[in-house]
Amino acid sequence: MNPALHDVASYHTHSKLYTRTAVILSIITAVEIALLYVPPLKPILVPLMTVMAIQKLAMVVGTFMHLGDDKNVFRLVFLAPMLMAFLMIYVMTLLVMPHFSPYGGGYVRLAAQRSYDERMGLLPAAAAAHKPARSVEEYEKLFADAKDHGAGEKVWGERCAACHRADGGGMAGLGPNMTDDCYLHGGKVHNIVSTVLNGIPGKAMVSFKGQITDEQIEQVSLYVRSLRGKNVADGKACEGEKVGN
Amino acid sequence: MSAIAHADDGHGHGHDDHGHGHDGHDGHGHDDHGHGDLVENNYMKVPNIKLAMWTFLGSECMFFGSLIATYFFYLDKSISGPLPAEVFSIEITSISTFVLLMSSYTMALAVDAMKSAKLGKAKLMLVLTAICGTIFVSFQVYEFWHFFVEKKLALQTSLFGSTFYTMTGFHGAHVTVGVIWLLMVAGLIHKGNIKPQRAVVVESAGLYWHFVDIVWIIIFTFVYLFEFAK
Repeated sequence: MNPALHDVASYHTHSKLYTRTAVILSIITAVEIALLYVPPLKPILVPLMTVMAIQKLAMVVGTFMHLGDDKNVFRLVFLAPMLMAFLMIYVMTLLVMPHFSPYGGGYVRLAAQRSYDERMGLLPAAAAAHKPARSVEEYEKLFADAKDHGAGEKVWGERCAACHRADGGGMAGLGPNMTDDCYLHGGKVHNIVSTVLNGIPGKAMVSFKGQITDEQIEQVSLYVRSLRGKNVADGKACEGEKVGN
Repeated sequence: MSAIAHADDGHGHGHDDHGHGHDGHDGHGHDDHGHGDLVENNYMKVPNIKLAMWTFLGSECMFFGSLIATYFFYLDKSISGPLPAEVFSIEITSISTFVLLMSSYTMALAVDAMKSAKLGKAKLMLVLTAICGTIFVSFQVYEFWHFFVEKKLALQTSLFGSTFYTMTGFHGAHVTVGVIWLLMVAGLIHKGNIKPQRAVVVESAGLYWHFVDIVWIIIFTFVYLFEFAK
């Protein structure tokens, strides 16, 4: 007969099997959640939970969806893409999980934490700020005497250009224009060093203290100061206060 | 769905196109249920609707696989908070997860009842499944509202906000579509438009529903539980 038609007379109910499956699924889920509260298991929780989740998935697909005792073609069209999907998740996760990742954890996470705490009013106002090593006048003199900003420009390319653009013109929603005469947090070299040291809580600007050396922070700050007045093409509009030379 | 269900009436007698190729199958002379090429794939000997559903679900694997992989790729790369561990509530999500898991059970019972020609039970189980789905979506609406209003997490706040809302939002949308679909199937059974011989229509809707459940099994473990297991 037409395989699309169901033969009621020869059908035997699976309801007991389904009930048993539902009970097992519930137990696995309960155990999964309970495991979170067993501290000694923490190192093996991720692989353990992965196995449990795959087991649950296999039970739903195998029992509720009857893929196990159905036609081969169904397994082909469903399991092949599912395998690819898991492979994709695995590869992306491997790149990102903290143990394997060149990026994971690190300063991005800390910056997120701090900006969130700040936004939610969880931080005391006077968070320990890093102070620039020299006085305002010393930095201005340093800038006046500087002939070459090559080292600072290199740091800029590696750390700052991603948000402020390679030529310093700024990016919408990210870093402001560094080549105009406007500053959000002060235009003296001292202000710039302080901004790079501490970052701006709640904004994309993170603290670079410890990410690069203090010397590099000074070099890049002097380079940023040297950009003022270049007014590159297509730069972001003025933000903050205009400063005189 | 309904178009295929109605094929019952339209093709009940138009049976001549049925005879080529696989008479060997037809030992019982159930010719009064002929459905022609609309419902049977003559080459693979499987119902077209089921083949279509499994193929569609295969593509859905890649769809949700991409969303989940993207979530993980951008995890820990947000430059403004809140972080996942600060907004997730395992207690609340566990309840909604359990409700969705149980809806898979009632769905399986609905297909079973349909195949056993117990139409009343099939309708009841379909409605129960839809109710469980509605409860799940309600939990999600509450969760989104809580994140958005109290935790200040919007779609555009951070990479976490974007990837999280996109992934779980698409899943919630799938559940919503499933709820509407199951209620339609229950209505068609009620009107007598789906007979037990055509249980494959209910079964296919069930496959979709179970798939939505397994996506949540993965999301719940990988996204929610891992956040506290790392």
